[in-house]
Amino acid sequence: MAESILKVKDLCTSFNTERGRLKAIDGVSFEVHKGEMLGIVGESGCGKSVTSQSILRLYDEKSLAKYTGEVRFHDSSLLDLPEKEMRHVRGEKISMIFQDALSSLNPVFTVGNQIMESLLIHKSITKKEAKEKAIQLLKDVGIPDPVRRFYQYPFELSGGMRQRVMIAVALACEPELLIADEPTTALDVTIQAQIMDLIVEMNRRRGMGVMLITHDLGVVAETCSKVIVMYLGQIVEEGLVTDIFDHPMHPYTVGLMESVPRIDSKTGERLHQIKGTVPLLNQIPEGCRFAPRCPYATELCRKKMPEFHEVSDTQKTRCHRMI
Amino acid sequence: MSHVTEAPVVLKATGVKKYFAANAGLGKKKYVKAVDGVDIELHKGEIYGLVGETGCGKSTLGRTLMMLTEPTAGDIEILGQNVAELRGRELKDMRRKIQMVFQDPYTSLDPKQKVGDILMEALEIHGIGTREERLEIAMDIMHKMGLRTEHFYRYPHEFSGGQRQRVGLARALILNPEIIVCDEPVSALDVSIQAQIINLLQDLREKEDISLLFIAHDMSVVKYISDRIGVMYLGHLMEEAEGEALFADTLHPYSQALLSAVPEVNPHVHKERIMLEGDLPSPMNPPKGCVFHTRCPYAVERCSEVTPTLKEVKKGHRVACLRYEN
Repeated sequence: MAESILKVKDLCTSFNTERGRLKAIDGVSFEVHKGEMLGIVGESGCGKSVTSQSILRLYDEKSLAKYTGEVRFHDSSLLDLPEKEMRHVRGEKISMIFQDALSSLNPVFTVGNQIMESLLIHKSITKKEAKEKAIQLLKDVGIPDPVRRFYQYPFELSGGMRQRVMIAVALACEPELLIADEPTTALDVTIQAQIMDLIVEMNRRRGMGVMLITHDLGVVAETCSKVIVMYLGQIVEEGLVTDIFDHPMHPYTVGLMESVPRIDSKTGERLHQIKGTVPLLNQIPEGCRFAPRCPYATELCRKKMPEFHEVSDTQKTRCHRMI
Repeated sequence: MSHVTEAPVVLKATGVKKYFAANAGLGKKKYVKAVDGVDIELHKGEIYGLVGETGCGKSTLGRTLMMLTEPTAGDIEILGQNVAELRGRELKDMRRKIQMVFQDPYTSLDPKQKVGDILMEALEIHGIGTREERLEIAMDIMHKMGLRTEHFYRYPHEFSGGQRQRVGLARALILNPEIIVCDEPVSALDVSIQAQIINLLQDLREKEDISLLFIAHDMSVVKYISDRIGVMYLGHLMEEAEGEALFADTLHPYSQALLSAVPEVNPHVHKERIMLEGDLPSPMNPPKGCVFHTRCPYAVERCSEVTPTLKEVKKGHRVACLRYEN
């Protein structure tokens, strides 16, 4: 197996809110290896984005957020790094791309400027070299006429182009890990196909690890090798992409798979429904968190939280039925 | 489902165009051709899925058919009446018969009104029933939509996304419309909630015999729900067929590319993808000839000169492409 680059262990992130301290993620552990593409799936509010942003410590630690557990990137423990050193990790070692490219790019700087910025901060190169590199990057991410685009502002580009620019910014310093938080959710399918192709190509060519956060199971099935399913701040299932799609074990994963309309389905078939809705974070049920919505829930499920245990060499799940 | 196409036509649009004036600078006037000559028919009890990417004009078409904006050109006939000729009482009455469900249930409900009042307002406007009767009708429709009695006195912010979309649906249905235009009704919802709403819409069609124009960009959802599907690109309808036929026998090069881009929820399938070059051209300055020719892998010189029209090439299967014209 390839070398592990990121190791997250028992990560908990809690936030100060009007309703008291709420744990948005609770005991999340996983690993990302070199050249691996890991998918994190789940519905809104399950903690996918909080997990990814906690790795880079993007929340305000003074008043809002508190992290516990361990995030190990190679040999350094990210949660213990002083802010100054953390800055060298962000953008240089670990990069991130966000869902909405327009609001993530700075509207008053040119595209070229924003790519050069991270190069000039992290690498000791001259402006001229940075410019050459930036133009090369624009070319790499498939932007036609990169020299002209270099001088343009984000508003002059289409949605797909902006997302490409964001990828160029993220890749500028050749990071070892790329965290992509819903990178194609706001895009049309034809553009989504282009962008996912690009991410996969960068992943293969540079051996860069990728954490892909998405709610689109189709995208995960096509690109990822490993998948984590999250529900209400916890990982409920983990396995190879074939494990998760061929024989999902957790009732939540099963429900999720069956409620997706598929392109090869017959018209008019009924879709599977998961009953109820995701509870609020201040109303987390006792025992198994999925129990109130689970068709198989028993007394035990409502009382005791199931362990996250192995069901095969590659697959783990959090369900009493599988013990 | 061929029985549907034999049912009477409830909505018929012919040559509908909708241009928006845009300022091109230096006093020059230009037009954004959002919808540029679309013919469409909706039959009784049918779900017609309208798909296309951002900016293809599908929402504008929906809003124009809803009489929310006036078409620049073309005729719209609803239940046999030309809507352009309707005035006053008749127009108001027509509006009752065609209702809309919006994409974003967060912004399409008044945050300061209780859900019950939101529902009853529609009845009040159309002068239906006494206050007691209105209350009864509203309660009844809420139960049908799977909402509970106590929800009646709550505000929209107290609901989850799926529940809000149920309120949106209830508001559209309370007036007993014949046609509902759903503009991306499930795009903002999570898959498990999306499934609930899709099932609900299918039940409605079966029980109430309502016709639905279902506008969406998600091909799998549209396939799931629609009897017929129309594919739009840059203000034009490119292809139209019964759901199964469109997927089994895709004719237009744009539809082919669109379908091939939909990710498969199966890690063992590796799809051949047709990658489209470049971006959508600006609707302010659409390409001459076939609007798709700039990105079409089969484009020949004639495509940039002649604009293809939607022609029936097989039974119930219409396509606008020169490759199928003899």
